[in-house]
Amino acid sequence: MRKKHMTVAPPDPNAAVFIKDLTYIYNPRTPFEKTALDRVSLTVERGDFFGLIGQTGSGKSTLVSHINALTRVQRKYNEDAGLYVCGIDLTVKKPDLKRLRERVGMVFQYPEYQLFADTVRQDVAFGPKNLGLGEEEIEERSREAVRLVGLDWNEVADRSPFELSGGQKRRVAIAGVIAMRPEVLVLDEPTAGLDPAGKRELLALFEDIRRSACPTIIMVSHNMDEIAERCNKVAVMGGGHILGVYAPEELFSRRELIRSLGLELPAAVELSAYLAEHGVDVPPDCLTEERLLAALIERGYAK
Amino acid sequence: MEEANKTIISVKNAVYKYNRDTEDEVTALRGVSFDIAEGDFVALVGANGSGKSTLARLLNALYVPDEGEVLVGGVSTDTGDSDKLFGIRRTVGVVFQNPDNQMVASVIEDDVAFGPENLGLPPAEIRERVDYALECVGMSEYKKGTPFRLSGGQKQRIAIAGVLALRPKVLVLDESTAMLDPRGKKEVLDVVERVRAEDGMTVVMITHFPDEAARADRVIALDGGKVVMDASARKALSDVETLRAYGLDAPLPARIAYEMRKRGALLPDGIVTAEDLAEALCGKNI
Repeated sequence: MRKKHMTVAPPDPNAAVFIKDLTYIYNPRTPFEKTALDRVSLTVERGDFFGLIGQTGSGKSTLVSHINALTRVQRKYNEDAGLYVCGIDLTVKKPDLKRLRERVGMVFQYPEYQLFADTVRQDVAFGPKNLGLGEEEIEERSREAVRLVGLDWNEVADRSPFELSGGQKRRVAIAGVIAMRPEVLVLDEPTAGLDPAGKRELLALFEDIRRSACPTIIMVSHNMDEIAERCNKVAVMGGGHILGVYAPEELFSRRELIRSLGLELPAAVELSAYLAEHGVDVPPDCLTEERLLAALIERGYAK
Repeated sequence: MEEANKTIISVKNAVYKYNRDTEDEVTALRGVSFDIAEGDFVALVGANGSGKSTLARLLNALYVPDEGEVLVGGVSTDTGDSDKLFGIRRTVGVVFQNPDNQMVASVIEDDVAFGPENLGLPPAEIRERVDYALECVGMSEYKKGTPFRLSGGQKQRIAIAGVLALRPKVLVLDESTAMLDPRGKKEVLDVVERVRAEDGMTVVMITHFPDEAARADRVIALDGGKVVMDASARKALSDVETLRAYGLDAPLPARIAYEMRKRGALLPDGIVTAEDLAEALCGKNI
């Protein structure tokens, strides 16, 4: 008889995501068996702007897809594992997926490819409609979501999403997720493929959204400048493990770790280190453009 | 050295419209003109929707302009002559953004051989070209494998090998690094450096990334379907204000220099690289 599944209680009621010893194996017991997650533990607190980095194939996507239960916990490999998202236990046989999907919003890579409706209004309303909300509530949420992503409702509501620019399409897709009023927003490479202005605007929007609508954001990104600028904590993944959770300052001072993982340093760290090495009086680890500029000004270089 | 500066691509007042003469007509290019000489390394930059990718498709006759013309090796791309069209596509090879959309075979060397096979070359010649192309992108050891299990960067290198096997004179990369992780990006950019250094290949690189554009000798910027900048990389990429006005970014050292100048620092023009900035700052503080 198989051992009864133990329930691990979340130690912290404030945790938006609590993961303990989570394992996931692709194609188990076949020649293609691959352990994508190997006893991964991680806690994301309410209010975190949490970064998740690691090379392609490190397990980021598998981990993230557990958070909204697109990938279900493999119960037989996870008898003593814990996975709670917004207090919902996802290790049980029948987790409350309806409640989960109300609380966790997921923005996939290139989300604009998933637009489908005839108008922006219909596209954004699709999620709230599925929640079974009334017409008025749906409209109110849609308007709010479209405003939050920086678009003008009156201008776009009745247009086809397909005639908008690439950056606008992406915003509409994100509005569709925001309109669900999630508590946790998961972003997978949210700025990939956007031009620099589009990137900057979208990141600023996420910060607004975090302050006003959705307190917890988890962002998967290869762009270390974005991670350095926005995240308060960063988990590093490699080979199906969490190699560490760091404050960005600490993470990017670990050059060897970053290099060994095939990741990059933020451009500002790279530049300040180069300047410091070449005789400029500046700390070698300025995390962002603003900090590097401030350091140069403080030391009298702007005169 | 007259030959070194021979024009290989000439775009003359090119206009291109999608859904022409319908309600949904969109003008993507509004009279674009420039010449590219053999051996040039050009970065083509512009915000989303500026017309860059449309332009890439004009360069190898996937699209022909509605007005104006595009000449490749002196031959107009607007030709019904399939021999000429064939010549154009052999001259200009394009690598696109999504590596998954560019794979045609289930074995890597077959994928790379697809182009030369279609040229009707003898088997020995095909073999030689495939080996050369895979060697060029550093993927020789994978030739018997399948492309579907490769990383994004490796797939993109195979796509480049497929183009190199046609021995083009011009390599056009249409945001070919946009979907790759940092390691994949570096792999692709190293291949570009290599074909530049070893074969003196003409390269047109379409990109959003200022640090990628900084590798080129010349930068052409598009906005709203028009050329708004065409200058040396140093001149273009140090012009922070103009780039920003078009939704683009300058490399970080240029942005830092710009902000410092605004605050009264006297710095020389044309700062683009870390080296430039270090040199300008050294000995500047008291």
